[in-house]
Amino acid sequence: MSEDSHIPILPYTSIIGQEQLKLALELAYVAPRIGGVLISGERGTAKSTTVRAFAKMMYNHLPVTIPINATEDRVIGGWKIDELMTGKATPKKGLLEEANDKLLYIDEVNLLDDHIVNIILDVTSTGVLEIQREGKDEQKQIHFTLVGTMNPEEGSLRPQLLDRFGLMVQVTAITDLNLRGKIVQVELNFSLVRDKAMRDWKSIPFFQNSLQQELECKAKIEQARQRRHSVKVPESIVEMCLRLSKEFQAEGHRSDYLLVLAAQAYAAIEELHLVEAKHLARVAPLVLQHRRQRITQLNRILWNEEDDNLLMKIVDHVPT
Amino acid sequence: MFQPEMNLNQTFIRSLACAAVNPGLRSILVLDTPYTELQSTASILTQMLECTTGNKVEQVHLRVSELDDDLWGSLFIDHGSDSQPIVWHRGILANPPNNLQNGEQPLRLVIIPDLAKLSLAAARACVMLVAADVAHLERHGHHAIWQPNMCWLASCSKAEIGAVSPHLLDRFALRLNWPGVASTYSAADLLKEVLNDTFSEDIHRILPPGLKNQLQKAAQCQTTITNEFIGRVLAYMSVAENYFPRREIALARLALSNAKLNEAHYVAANDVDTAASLIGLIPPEEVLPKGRSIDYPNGQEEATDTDLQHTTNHPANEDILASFHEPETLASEISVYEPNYTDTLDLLSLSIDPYPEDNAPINREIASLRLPFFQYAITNPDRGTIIGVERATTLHNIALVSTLFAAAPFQAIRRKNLNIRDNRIILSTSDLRCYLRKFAPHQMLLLLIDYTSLHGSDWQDALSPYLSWAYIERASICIVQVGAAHPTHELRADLIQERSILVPSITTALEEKSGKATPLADGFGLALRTLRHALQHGRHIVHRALFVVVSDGRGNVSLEASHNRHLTKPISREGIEDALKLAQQIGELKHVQTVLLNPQPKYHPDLPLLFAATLKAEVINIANAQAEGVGK
Repeated sequence: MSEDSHIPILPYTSIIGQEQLKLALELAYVAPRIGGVLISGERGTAKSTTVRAFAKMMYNHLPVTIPINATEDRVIGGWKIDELMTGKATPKKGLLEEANDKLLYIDEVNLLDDHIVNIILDVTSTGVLEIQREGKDEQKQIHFTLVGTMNPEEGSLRPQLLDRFGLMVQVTAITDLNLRGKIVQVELNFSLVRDKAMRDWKSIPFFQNSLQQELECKAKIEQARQRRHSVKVPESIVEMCLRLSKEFQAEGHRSDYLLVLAAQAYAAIEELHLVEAKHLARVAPLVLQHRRQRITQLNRILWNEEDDNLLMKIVDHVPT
Repeated sequence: MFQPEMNLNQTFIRSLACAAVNPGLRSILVLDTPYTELQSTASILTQMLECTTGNKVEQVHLRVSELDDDLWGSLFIDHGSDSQPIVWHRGILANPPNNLQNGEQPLRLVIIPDLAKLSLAAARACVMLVAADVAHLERHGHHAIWQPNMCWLASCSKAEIGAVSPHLLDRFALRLNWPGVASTYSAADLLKEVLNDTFSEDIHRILPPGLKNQLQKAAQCQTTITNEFIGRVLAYMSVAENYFPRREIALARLALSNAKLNEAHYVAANDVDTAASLIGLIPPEEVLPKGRSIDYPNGQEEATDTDLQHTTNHPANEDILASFHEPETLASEISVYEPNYTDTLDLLSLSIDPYPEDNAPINREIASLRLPFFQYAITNPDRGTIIGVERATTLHNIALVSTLFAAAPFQAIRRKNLNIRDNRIILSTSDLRCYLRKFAPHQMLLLLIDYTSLHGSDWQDALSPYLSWAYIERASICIVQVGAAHPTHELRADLIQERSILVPSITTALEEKSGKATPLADGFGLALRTLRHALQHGRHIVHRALFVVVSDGRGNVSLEASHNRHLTKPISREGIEDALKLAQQIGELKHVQTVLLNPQPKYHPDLPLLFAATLKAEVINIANAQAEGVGK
């Protein structure tokens, strides 16, 4: 049982709306080479809730989390302090190592200490964790899916860090009355569980349905991950990816293969064997919006109707 | 000792009771509260929480100077231990030990006397912990994950709400306005207490037994939500000027708690109205234009009882939207309790905006929650308030205690390796720590802008090199506004002081329009005092000030009139003479470089030059200046 098993987390399938956000997390899980997801959005839009719920569903525990005030020794790794003081040097894994092959989550990523950001940048770009401190000299191969959430009102990310995120989702508050009513209802129900610290909350009928759906959702995503390599990517789709990168003036070449990877992952989630234009149309905004030249993050609307029209023109398809 | 009356008919008490009943409301912001009253409120809230939870509540105070190590924890000396003298010392916000009988954490009430003056570390901690489901601690070898069990009670002046990040404010679910009077006791009662020697400024208000009983019953009450209730909540938020999801959920929780306090089995629309009135939300019918009605969506489902007595069983992604029936329809199937307490509730919060931050002028830097940016070349880094500790690469600005604590865990191993038997502390370069300091400006830009002399001139272009200088040098900035369109008083100048040019209020000040009077003498007086203070007083004096004057010198308000806020004599040359006297004093200050931007007025063109000579200022002519001033 993990140390966080007693902390009730709203089931992933109980989260109302935010389909783009959920899709981005699922794509990053199905195709880990995508590298990560940056979730930028207004206050109170379930960004952190969704990430935690997803990690709980897929990994059975909360994501490895770097809080904004983490010290370097906990990020990179060090020694167990109490044993060190008795003269025994017992290593203690850092958070980056604990997140190997899993999800590494940074809440309020734009508030993170610059020094810690530099460490993460170094590891994500080289895939190697170098520990040279406190008498240690080690190199370890590390790979994780980096997920960050932020409110852009509190500042933007350095371009180097922004580039490490394969996908970016812009989250806005849900305004549809139907959905808002559901959100209030779900939140009030879950509050009862959370506030009374119910340890047997999973047996409550209201959540049993959601948890059952969660198991089905998890199985579907796992199968998609297994199946992804067998999903064929036609030459026409590859050409569309290249054209999209060019027309949207994406910086660098990373967007080319990210578009292919993300479309392939999406097709795998849809249980299809061939990537189609509609898959590309769906994932393109996630890949391209933060890679375009002359776009600043303070310009909140990173993807607009004009971009949708250009996308449709290129893929010849209505985005779903 | 006299105890003021307390009951649930009092808006403020009822609101606190709602927070005591519902953990989702335990982040409370009270606007415009004096410190002593905040303490009194904390005392009431503590008793209420102890009533509803059945456990002792621990109070924690956040001040202006806490650092990360104080808040989260650090290594510390344990004087009582021989075996392990260096131990982990838990910070005031870190996870407490699970020492309750049911193995859970005790509830802590965190009191913040002034949210606008919180330290950066504390503000960042609040963002992580207030209304959080999960908390993480990863510091100095220590690791913890826990579900926070905290109640937050903060105060802030409405005038200063613009200094607080909205990202932080959004986490405060319950917004209250301080009632403004010391409840129901009179001056005569107070005097009696003083005469009997029973008066204490620290009025510890004790909850009456009846109120305690009501709270305990409310905490146990099972209340079902209705579709009508959800519809009414959505209606309030649909007409709000700004929509944020947390506010909607907070209103729903407040209405639910309100129903529980009435021991109602169902929560209905009028509970939402009462809850809205507690925090000062205007009913949607009063917000919408006449003739427009609130558009409720249609649905088919009704609320049913479950184990939670709360909701329907539908999975999240189906369209479960319940019908928003008219109350009469619902009443035929479910009896809804409609209390009549609203007749007696003192609705002091009516029409008082619970979210003043939506319209308050911004008075904080952009990205105010980020750790400060440091210039690469800081010649004197040991200025500025200490906000943390970081690794050091030189021996400058060393944090001795932190360095020793960094070295402490390695002493046993180092002594063994070096075969040292005594108790010398063995330091390594990797142990060195220095202070992280809030950047204190070395230089200041002081602008005196006479808005009445700027008509038709290109003054902003002329000013921009100095603004660029202030940005590059990270100088603090002050603006003395003379003859602005919206002054505090027409016969007085105003001063705006900010730590950097990036604060939005500076831009607002530069875009100000012209007024009528020109209290130039008062403006120079304000500038003189500001310069003297910055150059001579305090621990963080500036080394150099750049004083830029934008004026044609035609002050038409004497210093006496400014100080009296009243014109007693006809306008004459006195305003100019007073201004010149003060300008002379400024001219004698050291470490001040003065520049006068000359609007080149058509009338009295020599006057700006006279001022420049008195100030010992360089003169820069403003391009495309027109001769006539405005409002003279």
